[in-house]
Amino acid sequence: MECREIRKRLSAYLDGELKQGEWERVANHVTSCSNCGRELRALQETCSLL
Amino acid sequence: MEDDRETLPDEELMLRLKDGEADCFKELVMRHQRSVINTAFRVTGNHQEAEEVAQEVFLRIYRAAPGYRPDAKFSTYLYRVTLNLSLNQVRKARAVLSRFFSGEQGFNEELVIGEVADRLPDTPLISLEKKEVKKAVRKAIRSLPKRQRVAIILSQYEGLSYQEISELLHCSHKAVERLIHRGKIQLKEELASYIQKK
Repeated sequence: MECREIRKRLSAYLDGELKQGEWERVANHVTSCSNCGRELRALQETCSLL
Repeated sequence: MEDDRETLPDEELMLRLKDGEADCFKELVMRHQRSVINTAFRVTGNHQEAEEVAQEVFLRIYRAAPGYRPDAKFSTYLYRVTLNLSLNQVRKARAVLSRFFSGEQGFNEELVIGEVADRLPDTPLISLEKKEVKKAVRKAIRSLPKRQRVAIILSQYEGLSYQEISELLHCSHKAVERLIHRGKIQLKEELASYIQKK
């Protein structure tokens, strides 16, 4: 359940649009969850192509 | 007097234009013409229409000057006018709309994704791949639903905040976050092969 909620916030996380508490929650999760970390990197790489 | 116009903020130029200093309008046009045309072009997908939209944008700004009040940032106001007129242009021109969604007839790839080329390293070794990536990015962006596409363009290319985009699109901050995230997820899927190459 947490992964699903975190993934919805990844774009806002990358765009610097999260408040500090939300940012920390996402940051902590993506460092400990390899699947969400991978999803974050894929989104980062996508944005780097734009 | 004339010399200091270049250093004045947009809002001050508008206030001086309101007071009758017509030359301040020239400074505003020079300052923003390119970004207005670029924004209009990304929405309409047609350079001539983008230039026509830009002319209309500045005409409206000029006409609105007598009633101008610096309540909001001029740049946000300018984006709102540009976006609204660009979307109106797209709505009015069925042919343009069709071209935008189907990718046929006269769509200038080089101009649409021109900025992508500027952001990639310019070495002969990757020039072919650059062209391929540009084409794929253009196609992927064009395939997004309209509001997602506009939100992505304003965020990723124009550098607007979610708050600024929410004001332009008349929706909530949360709705902008959803539009951009869904758009990025779709772009990720469309561009998967280029991501794996990196």
